[in-house]
Amino acid sequence: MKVIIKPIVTEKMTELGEKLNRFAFVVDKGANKLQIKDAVEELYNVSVESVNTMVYAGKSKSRYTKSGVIVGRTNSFKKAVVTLAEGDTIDFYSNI
Amino acid sequence: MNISKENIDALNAVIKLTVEKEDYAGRVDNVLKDYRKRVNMPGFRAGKVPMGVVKKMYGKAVIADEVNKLVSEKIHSYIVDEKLDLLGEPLPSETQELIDFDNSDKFDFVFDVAIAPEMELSLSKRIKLPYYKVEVSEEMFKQQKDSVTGRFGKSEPVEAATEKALVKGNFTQLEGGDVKEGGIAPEDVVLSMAIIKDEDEKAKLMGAKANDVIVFDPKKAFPNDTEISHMLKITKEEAEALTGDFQFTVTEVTEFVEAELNQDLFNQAFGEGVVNSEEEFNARINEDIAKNLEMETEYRFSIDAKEKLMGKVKVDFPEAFLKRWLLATNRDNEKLDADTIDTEMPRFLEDLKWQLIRNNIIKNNDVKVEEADVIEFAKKSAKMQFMQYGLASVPDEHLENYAQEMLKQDEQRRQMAEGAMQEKVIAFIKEAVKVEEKEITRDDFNKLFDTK
Repeated sequence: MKVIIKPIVTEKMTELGEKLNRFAFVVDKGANKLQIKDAVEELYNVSVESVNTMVYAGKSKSRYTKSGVIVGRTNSFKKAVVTLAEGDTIDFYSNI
Repeated sequence: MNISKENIDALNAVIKLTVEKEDYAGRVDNVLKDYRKRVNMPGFRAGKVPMGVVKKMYGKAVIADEVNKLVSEKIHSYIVDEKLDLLGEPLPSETQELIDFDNSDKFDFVFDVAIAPEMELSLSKRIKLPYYKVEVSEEMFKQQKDSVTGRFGKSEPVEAATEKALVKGNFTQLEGGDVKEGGIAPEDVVLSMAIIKDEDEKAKLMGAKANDVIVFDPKKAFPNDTEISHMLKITKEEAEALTGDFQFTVTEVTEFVEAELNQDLFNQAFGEGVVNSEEEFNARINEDIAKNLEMETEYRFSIDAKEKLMGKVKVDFPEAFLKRWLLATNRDNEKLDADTIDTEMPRFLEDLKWQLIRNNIIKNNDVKVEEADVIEFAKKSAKMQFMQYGLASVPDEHLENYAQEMLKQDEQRRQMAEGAMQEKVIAFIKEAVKVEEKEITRDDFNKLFDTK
């Protein structure tokens, strides 16, 4: 199972990262905190202090078109906010 | 942060400085934070650029900048704290390794400094200095008087041209004795008899009256082509090629007459009611001469004093360092290259020596320049300037205003303060040493300057 799906790069998370040393990822729905901790530690070579997880429900989206109403749903996902030990950091912009 | 000094010899030393990460990290962070607020980058809203990105783009430059600032601050405070008396400024040493801002976070700096040489200078009555008093000769008196009367003289029309006359008239170019068609014919030209060189040509013009017609060759009369081109209103090339006679029709003959010694002149020259009789006028002229002479005497004294003290004090200078320093500080000045500095060095060292002596006197004897002194000096130099324009008597408040105006400019102010300082030092020297007054004639006095 691939635990970390992608990092969340938003203004909100940039701020959290700079102030509280927290970084967030979209993770597999089935992964637990321990697995997430291990995955982050291995992937970024940092030590994780704590992991907070939350499951976002998908929203139903509807759009009116010529041929009637289209109704759909966005995906539901699990988000993990990882607090790193002091001194460690993850640079999501290292490739630019 | 680690700063230390190593003496190489009495005049040269090395200041070593190590800057570590803790020393500059805080300052760098502050600067970067400030950058972050202002930086504009595509993909981010203003002020929302992640710190990591800002650091990556500007971090090295900011570190270099801050380290530089830190080093100069520390060096400066070190010099102040240790009370080091330096010549010039600290220069990066030649043994300085290239600073690698990319890979290292600990930087070593090495600076060469030159220490001002110690000197012993004691002013006492045993040092004798001449103070020349120039005698006012008849000739000088007459010259000064003539200059006053001449300044207010005016041109008056006279009957016939004499040696000093100005002749006004119209030129017409001649060709084989007849008027040349389309030739050069300037009108209302003023000739000065005094500048005609050729005696024969001059004789032709001598005694000319209005409406006289005289034929002469300007090329012979005025050997200078510039004069001719100006007079005939032609170009210099044309003047050079010019030959043949010209016909000159005199319209007016004037002569410069010096002003008469009367109340009008006194008023014009010195202001209303200041001088009322010829005796007062003479006295006033004597006074003016004396004033001028006094300035020269003071100047001479300052030169003598300077020479004497320079001779008394022997100091060594770290020449190699000073050369490097001059070269480094004048890098933008293209005229000043290594060769010129080599040749200029002795003079520069002399100046430096005098400066050191001056500072020594100032420090040891507590000579101070106060605001009032600076203003006084500014007023004095303002007065000199006015005198150069021929304004001998300028009201005091006017001078005061002018002086204040001068002092508002920093550059001028520095100069004035410098001048006032110089004056005070000279005055102090005059007090401290034995001054021998010597009467001297003007010619001998001038010779004193020639021999140097």
